Amino acid sequence: MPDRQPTPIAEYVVKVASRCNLDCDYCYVYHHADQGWRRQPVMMADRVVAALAARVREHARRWELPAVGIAFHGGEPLLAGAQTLDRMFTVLRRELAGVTELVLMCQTNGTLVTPAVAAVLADHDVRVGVSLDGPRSANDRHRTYRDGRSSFDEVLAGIERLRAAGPRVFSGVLATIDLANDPLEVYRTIAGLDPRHCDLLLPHGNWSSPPPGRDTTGTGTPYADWLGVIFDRWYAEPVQPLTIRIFQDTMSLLLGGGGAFEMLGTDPVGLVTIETDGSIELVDTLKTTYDGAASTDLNVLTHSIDEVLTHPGVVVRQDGKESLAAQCRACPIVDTCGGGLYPHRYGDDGGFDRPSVYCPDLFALITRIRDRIGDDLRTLATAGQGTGR
Amino acid sequence: MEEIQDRATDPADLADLAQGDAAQELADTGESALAAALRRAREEDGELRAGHQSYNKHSSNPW
Repeated sequence: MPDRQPTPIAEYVVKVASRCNLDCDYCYVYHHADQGWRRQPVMMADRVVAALAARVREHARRWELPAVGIAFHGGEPLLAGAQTLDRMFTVLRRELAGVTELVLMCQTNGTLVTPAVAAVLADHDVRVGVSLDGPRSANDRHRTYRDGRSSFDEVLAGIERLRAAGPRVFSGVLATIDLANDPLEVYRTIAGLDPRHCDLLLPHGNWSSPPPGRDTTGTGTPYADWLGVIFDRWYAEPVQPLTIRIFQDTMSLLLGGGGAFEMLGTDPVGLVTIETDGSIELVDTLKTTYDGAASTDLNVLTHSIDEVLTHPGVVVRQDGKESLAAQCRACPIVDTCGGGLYPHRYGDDGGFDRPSVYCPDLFALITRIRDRIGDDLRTLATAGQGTGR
Repeated sequence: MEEIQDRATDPADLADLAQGDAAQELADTGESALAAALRRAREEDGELRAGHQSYNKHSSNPW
């Protein structure tokens, strides 16, 4: 059997802050199985940032990576404040200059965007995604302060400050789906903010702890039905107003391109999480499965990034179809679905060797999109023949 | 679950349809979601064939 060629790590989710000023009830950091945040320092120290920059530089150079993405996450990364963020971005930009293209990103709840913070993000060319679940009624179901207050007005104000800081700063909106929300209202609200991108996320869950509304014994497809309403509207727009990752990736994969999202397709996954204390962890959404699921016992203070490439939790994400359950490998849409998001395959009795808990929804959504674009491409082809093309 | 998979019909060979003249013309000139998807698939297919696919393809972050 030939030696496996690992895929290097080209994306880092960096937990700049381990705490948050909001208390969203579905948050995978605080309200799921893993409680590792309690053992983390509140804020990433300068020496950890310096070590991270050096490790990323070393890895990028060794593997001749053309580009590396570093996404500031939390908790809430903007708790670091403008001065600290400026210092962190400066170190990363300086250390990676001339080695690789550094794409800086930040995922924020948007409530702590002051003019000073927005200016720092713009100065360092950081692409910022803001979490917002839709209109006020949708957002307030989950995304509140600890005392239950709405975060909606502060989020909108934050988006306006990002927009005022420069044309590229406000990049997109991340919304977690709640079946109780009207999908078209969610779509209209997000599109009305005029982001370049939108990410609609399935709420985290697995076979042992199923997502809301997902009956694991049945074949109902409530999430596909919800997303399908938005797909039909979005797809029919003559001029695409914004990208929606789950749809765009599905279409690209169906048409013979690649996927960019770790939830779809079978391309190798080359990303790790850096915890606030410098620990190198697997994809952070594994925290929804069991306590310690993302741990590797490695740390940027003492280990190279190369060392994580042989960790079983990384290897299994780079094996393509080989690592999927037999049922998935035999499925006609496996190349598009890829078994769904890895943490969604978890079950207490069988690890990850099973389809996604969202299997019926993914199947229904992908085939809906396949049939729709198939019809259109056939119509196009027929019309082309009719005109002699 | 098996019941679900049994519902699948032969998947349309969309990749072949996407290579057709009319689809390529749409990719060249269109502004719709389908046009954008056709462009992206064409670019990524080209990258794969050239053997220099970006390492940054499979991401957790959409921004």
